[in-house]
Amino acid sequence: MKLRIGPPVTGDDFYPRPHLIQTLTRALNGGHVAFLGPRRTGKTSCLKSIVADPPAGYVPLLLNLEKHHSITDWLKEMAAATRTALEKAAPKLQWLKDAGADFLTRLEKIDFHGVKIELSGSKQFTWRPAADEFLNLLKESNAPLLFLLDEFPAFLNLVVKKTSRDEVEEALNWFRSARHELSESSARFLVTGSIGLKSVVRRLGFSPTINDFDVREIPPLKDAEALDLLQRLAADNDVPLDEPGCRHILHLLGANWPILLQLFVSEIQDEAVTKPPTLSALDHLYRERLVCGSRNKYCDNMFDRLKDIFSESECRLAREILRALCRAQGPSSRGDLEDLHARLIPQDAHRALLADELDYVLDALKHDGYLLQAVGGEQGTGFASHILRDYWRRKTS
Amino acid sequence: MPPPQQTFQPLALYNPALLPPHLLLAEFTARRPLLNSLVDIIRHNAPAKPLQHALLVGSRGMGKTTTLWAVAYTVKADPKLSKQWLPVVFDEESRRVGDLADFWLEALRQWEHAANDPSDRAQQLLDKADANIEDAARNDFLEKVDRSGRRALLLIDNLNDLLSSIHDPEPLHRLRAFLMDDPRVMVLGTATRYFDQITDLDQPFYDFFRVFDLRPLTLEEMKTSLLALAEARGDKSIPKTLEERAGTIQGLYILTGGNPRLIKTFYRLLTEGLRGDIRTDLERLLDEFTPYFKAVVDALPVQQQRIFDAVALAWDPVEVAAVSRVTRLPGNQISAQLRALGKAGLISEAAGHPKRKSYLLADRFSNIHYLMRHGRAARNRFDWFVALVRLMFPDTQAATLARLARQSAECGAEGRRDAKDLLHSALARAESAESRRQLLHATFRESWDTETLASLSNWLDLKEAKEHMPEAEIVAFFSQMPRELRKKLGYKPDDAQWWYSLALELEKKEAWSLAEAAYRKAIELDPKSALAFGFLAYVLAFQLSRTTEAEELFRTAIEIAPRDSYPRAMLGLLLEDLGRYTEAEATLRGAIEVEADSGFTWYRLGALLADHTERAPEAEQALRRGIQLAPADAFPRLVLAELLGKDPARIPEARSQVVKALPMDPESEWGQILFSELCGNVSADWQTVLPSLAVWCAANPKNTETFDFTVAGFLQYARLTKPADAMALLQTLPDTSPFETLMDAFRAHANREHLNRLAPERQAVVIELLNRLSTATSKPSTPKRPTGLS
Repeated sequence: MKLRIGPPVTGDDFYPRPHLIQTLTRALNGGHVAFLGPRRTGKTSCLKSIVADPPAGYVPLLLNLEKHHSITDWLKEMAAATRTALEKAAPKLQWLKDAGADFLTRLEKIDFHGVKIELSGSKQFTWRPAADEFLNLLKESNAPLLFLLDEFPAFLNLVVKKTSRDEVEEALNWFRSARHELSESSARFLVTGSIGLKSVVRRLGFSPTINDFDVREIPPLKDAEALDLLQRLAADNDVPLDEPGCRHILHLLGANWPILLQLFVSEIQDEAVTKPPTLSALDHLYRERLVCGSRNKYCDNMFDRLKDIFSESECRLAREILRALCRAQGPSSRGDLEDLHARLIPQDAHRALLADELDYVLDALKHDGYLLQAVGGEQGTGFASHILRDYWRRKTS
Repeated sequence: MPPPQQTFQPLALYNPALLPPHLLLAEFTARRPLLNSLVDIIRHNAPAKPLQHALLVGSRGMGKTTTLWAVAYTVKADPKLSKQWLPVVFDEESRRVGDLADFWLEALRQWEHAANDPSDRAQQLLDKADANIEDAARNDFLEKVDRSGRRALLLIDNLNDLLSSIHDPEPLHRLRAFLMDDPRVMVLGTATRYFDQITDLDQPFYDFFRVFDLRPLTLEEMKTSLLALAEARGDKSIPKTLEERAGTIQGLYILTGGNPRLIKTFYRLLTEGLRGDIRTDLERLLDEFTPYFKAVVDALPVQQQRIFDAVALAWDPVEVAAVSRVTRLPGNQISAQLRALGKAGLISEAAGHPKRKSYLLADRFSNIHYLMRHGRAARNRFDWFVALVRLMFPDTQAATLARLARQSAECGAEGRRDAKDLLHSALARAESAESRRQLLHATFRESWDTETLASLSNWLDLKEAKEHMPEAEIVAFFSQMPRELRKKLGYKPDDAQWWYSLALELEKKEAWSLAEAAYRKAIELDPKSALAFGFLAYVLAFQLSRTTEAEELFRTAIEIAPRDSYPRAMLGLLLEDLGRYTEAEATLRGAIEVEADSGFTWYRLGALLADHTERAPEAEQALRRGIQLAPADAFPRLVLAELLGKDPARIPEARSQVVKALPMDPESEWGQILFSELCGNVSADWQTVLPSLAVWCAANPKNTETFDFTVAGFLQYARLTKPADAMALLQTLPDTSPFETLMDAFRAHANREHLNRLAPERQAVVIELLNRLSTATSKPSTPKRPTGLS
């Protein structure tokens, strides 16, 4: 297992997450999934793992949508990827043997090209007929295709920028109805991305178009997994690291995101040490390299961007939450956070007008990697990593 | 076969591509572990996996470009890797990229260059002006990559600039998607700092690269680096320097901050040394650092330049308020511009209180450079030169600076000004009083026996020097002394005897205060030197009228050397001057007790008894004993003559003493008067003394009093005899030139026609002499004995 920082990891470099993959596939069996989580937490790697070892009976298609800025391109890539996958795949699937050829023939006939035209005062998008045809094909053929749509939120942003908000609205509505129509069929969609899907559609005002997704969030590794990952990384990359050191790293980081574990190991590797670093050496490395060193630039950005992603009132709330949580002794409960919101906006009536503000801010902070909500127990909320928490403490001291 | 040694290879401070691969790799030692990590990443970037891309982040001069080239050469040299990868190095300052199409066109060009492919596909695409040129360029590039059977390793310097130049997020997303999915292209980039495209959560390339910080080299790494440089260039002096000049290396490390480019710059200085021409050395240091720095600063908007200037000149970390005062710009504007300068990597925040931020130039040598170039006073230029010399030559800094100052002072007026500025800076920047003294001593020693010392006051601020080394004034006085004398004396400021010798020379020049200081310096170095105490007391007593101090010092000298008669005799004289005759006599007798053969002490006792007691016989006895022991001294004979002259019966004896004494000390006014009184009307006595006096006058032409006395003597002799006899006496002299006019007077006396042969001016003088010849001599004034040793 080599250190891989940045690109998705595959094969031996991917730390297996069977429980998570199983959860996703189970969810896909039941419907369509929005696989959410902060950037750099391993979502794409999980998708690649699904592609490498697909659920029984499915043909997985992983599409990175960030290179597109039009709905037509998306549809075309779905069609092209489907064609490639079906042509390439060994016909193990019974469905392929039975209906694959006919499916491909019909797919070939769909024309995804066209230009936007106006009909009777309403907007009609030229991609729509082809999209509907494709939807019909999927439905009628009961194709067991698993569309893993990576960077879906970024794609929506690009379409808005390059084409129009209307086109996004139309596409999201079509996509919602497609999911609905395909609910009884085999085809499934999973959307994910490195920026928050909910934030993007909320900003566009299209939240209802995605509320049917079965939302699954990527959790950090469990302690035992993280320890195992650290030890494997150390062993396979010739980094001297003993078990007490590994445990101390987990203690320092406070959140077992694989990327953070990889970063810590890479920092030790960069030190070119020959003996396992002592605990105090690890403390030093954590403080000087991860919290106060160059990675501090990432934290700076996290601090500064709040004003860009939130309205003034939301930003104030977000800052208060982060300020309170970075000093809290442990995870804060929902009640604690509501109290905090009430302190900021004491009048109940006023707060009621902003009913979803707290939810939205918490959701955005979670999906942008500031906060992490525990899955079990009281589901308390805390900082997503001690690196950011310690930075926040210093910054707001 | 090993490559030939490249002792003449350039250091390629700014363009490592100029170095041949073997030399670059041979010198690439300090960052070898990083190189290994990078090559390891390339090796493990399997074709079927998403590639690991990497980014080197480090400030200017940290070795980013060199590392890229080292990676390229290593991959090329590795049989396995070179089959899989073709390293493609982008131009460092490529300004061709404005969008993603440009990026792929550039990739095409650089691929063709690296692969020696002359097809110039990029130009063909540009000529074709295809609307979809981005796709076409990317596809052509990938086609060439595929055809080569290898993959592309894009080595892109200043990747941050490249990504920033693609403003639109859409193509950046497209590029990211490509790099995420396509295993044919790996990017290894560099950046001078962390930049928004990788640190901003909302940017496509957020945390996309594995980042390697190019941190400053450690001291050990710097040594390794210097050794590798030396070895690769066949330089044998550096290992010795590292071994013997630990202080130099430590200082060098502090100055360079472990910046590899600066280390290389100073490597050159270490190996080539200072040239002695301050301007050249200074300019060389500046120029080697100038090329990119000036361009970077010049490219800033005007307001940023002003703020940069204020921060740089402040040198120490400076707060917004201080910058605001200097620039007269509002604080909010300054904060905004400081942020921009920070993002550009030019300014950084100083460690300190997070709520009271202060700023300084990120690159400390840049700050030094700026101060040298733009410091308020021109002489500040030398401050950093001095600092550099100190760091480079800690063990010989004083000697080095002194040598440079002396060499500069030898280069005309401008050079002397430089030397003065250099020494001023060196004194101002010295870390201790002792090092200032060392520098000044080194400066004097350096020029002591050269002609350069003569112009000392033009290239050394003596007032300033005296503040740090009070005795500097004494030494500086010798700039007026002959070089030969200085050579003979040498420069030995640690030697008491040397200062004693200086004092004696100063006494000769009647530089009494300096002589006092020199004696005191001798005493400081040798507190048991009775001679120095005695001579110092002498100067105080008889030249500076500080009798109380002098008496104490004489007594100290006597205490140190009780068997030495000199301080006792001198104290006796002082006491006599002070009117304490009994004590004086006792002291002189004490001196005679310890040294019975001191003629001086005897005749001084005689003089005391003659002048202040009624014990003439005792006085005469003592004087005669003194004359016997010091027969060449005029003084006791004159005292004796005076004593004997009081008795008319003994006047001939008195005359005899005066006649002997006057030639011994012709300039003694007392002797002249006494002679006139006792012998003035005796032609024989004049005949005896005049030739000696005339010879003395010829040898001492500046002494007009004795000359006048001698001329008057010849006139008196002429009156007592005949002018012709006086003429005849004159003609016996070996050199008559001083008395030509007098001879003319005698000739004119014999023959008035002679007057007509003289020039009018000489004629007037001759007539005056003739007038004096014909008149009776005036009575000489009462002889007056000088006091003390005068």
